[in-house]
Amino acid sequence: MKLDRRLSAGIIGLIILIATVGGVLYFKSESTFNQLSSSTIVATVNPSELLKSGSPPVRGSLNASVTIVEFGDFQCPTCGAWYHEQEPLVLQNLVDSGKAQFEWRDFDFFGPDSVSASEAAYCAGEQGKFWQFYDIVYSNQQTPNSGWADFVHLQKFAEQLGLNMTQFNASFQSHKYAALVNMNYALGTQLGVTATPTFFVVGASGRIVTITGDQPYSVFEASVNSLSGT
Amino acid sequence: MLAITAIYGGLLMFLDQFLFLAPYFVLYVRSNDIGILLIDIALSLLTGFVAVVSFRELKSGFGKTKSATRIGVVGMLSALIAGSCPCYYLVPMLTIAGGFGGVFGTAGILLSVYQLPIKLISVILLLLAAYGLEMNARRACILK
Repeated sequence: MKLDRRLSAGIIGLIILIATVGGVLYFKSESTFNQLSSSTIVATVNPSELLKSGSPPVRGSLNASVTIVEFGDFQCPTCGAWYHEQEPLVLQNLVDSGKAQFEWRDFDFFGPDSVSASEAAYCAGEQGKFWQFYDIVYSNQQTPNSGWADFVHLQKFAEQLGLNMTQFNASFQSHKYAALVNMNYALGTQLGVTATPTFFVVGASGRIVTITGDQPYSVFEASVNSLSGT
Repeated sequence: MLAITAIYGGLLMFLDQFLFLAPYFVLYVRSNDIGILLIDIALSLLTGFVAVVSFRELKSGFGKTKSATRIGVVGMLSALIAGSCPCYYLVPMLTIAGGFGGVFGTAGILLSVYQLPIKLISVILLLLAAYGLEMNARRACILK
């Protein structure tokens, strides 16, 4: 009978745990959004200023009033899913139309190959092929840390893009972008990034909408429209 | 039962990134993930049933409820753990573990990779639990 009571208590405990975790996740996501979109916090932490730091790779018109900043990891399967299903719609309807520009910042946490992939992409950027490298890496994404993004494979991607391999190898092996990778991680952490992909949609006024996860195009469209006033 | 099904289902859908609460409330199912959504629905319904029936049977002091309940609890928990995308919890976990490549990171990636088989095993465990509870109730009714 004692054991029965323990099991009953276990079931009740499990239900309470599920409800609590659900509640915490709900309020966490709400507070992240509120924190970053609230003007008082913007004044103290100033995330929109933080997001202007450095010169990340950009797609689209520099005159666009809204900027979509993605914090992603090349090895993250959810980032890969977003890349394949939502990014084409975002690029076609929001970036190519001039409403928004799209920036990418690495937030590498899956493993050392994530860092290598980001550094290799920046090396490709030296030869004007960052976005081509970005496309080829996401298009070849496999299980994280299975070796698909190690240096040998990254070299193959670079060769496929016709990069100058001497320059690419020298640049990669010097780890000249290691500091940038660290800076982006620190920046993401400062901005409250705890998952990938996380997007910050930044309006001209500095207002920010945070989008976490593989969310559909409609959310991006609504966010961009609300920040650009259309 | 409906409340438990709804809470558990909501949590599974949130962790599987079907349900988003911010910046807007969105329910979105990727074309490739319809199978996982159906498994989530099955898991939620079975969880609601197993939780409520286990609780009632335990309260009534039926004979062999404990083992079925234990199987059910394992099924509920494993589905929940397998359901959560590592992209959601790896960053905080790695902060605790002190960098990538640790046990948490590896476990998170494995859980994500084997999400589907783990969830299917969870469905089987919950079905076994539901069957056990049903048989137990029938036996008790016959005896009474």
